Amino acid sequence: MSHFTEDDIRATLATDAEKAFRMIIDTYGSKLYWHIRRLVITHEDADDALQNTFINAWKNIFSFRFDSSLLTWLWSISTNESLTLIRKRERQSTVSLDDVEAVLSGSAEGSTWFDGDAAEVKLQNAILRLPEKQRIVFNMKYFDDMTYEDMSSVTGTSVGALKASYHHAVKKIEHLLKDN
Amino acid sequence: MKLNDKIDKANPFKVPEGYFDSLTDRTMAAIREEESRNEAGQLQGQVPGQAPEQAAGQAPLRKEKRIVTLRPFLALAAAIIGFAVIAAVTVRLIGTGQAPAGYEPGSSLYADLAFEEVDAFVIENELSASEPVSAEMTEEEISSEAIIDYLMTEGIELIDIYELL
Repeated sequence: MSHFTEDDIRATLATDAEKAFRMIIDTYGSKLYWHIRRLVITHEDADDALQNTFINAWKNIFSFRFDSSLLTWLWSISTNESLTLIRKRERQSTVSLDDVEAVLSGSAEGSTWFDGDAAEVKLQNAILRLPEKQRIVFNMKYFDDMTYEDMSSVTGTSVGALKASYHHAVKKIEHLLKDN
Repeated sequence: MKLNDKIDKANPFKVPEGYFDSLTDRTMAAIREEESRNEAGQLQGQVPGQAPEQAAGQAPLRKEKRIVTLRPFLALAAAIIGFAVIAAVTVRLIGTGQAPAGYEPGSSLYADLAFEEVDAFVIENELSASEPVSAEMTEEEISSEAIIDYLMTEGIELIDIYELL
């Protein structure tokens, strides 16, 4: 997948919307997928949420004023789509979905697209126990190695609050891993 | 156990082969399908005789805003009627007041305030008659960590706490 600058995308949007949107998917698709996947766990749900993210973005691309970056805008949409999907899944489930095994066993794909050793499963389970926002912050910092400034940009949250949230998330996860 | 000590950042989540290579094509197809569904829904509401804009086969994506306008007079009439209904209901509610059980209808709004004053007086008296707070409790120091943990168990997220500081 090629990557394009936001300036290139914006310039193309003025003359060829479809081409510009293909550039958007090429540039941001993978990053958004992994952000979503770590939240929703299953590949099928991640694919659904990613498609919905881009459909939503397509519908609103001409009203986007570029007052924030494209990534910030798309990140926000994808986070909302992920949380909407998670809440819908929890409402429809008859069992508690507070660990990876429960989520996978309740899905059509099962563990087809999950291949983690015991330690990785424990870590993912601990992450699932975090409140939603804290889980997002932890994933961005721990797995995506994002700087606090970049995280602040995409979330609209102050650097200080993000640092505090990440610090607390790490402590909580370490505590959970120690207990298990 | 420290996070970085034992668990590396290996990714347990896998994706089907070629998923990202075909992502753009599949997504654009999904967008076209979504637009076709929307157009089909709008076509059902159209006046017969209007030519559909969608061509057969794979329709090119359009970025035109479809504005469905109501007939101006019907819209204005509906708005006036709606406003009148809401205003009438509101006036009636204020006029009769949200009376507690046994309260006579037709009383003014100010009579409700009298009941609120009574409630406040009763609460104050109940509090003053309650057991005095233990001196031990007032001397106990609560750590900020404990406060944060408590707030988080109440469903308040840490980011929101720090945003308020």
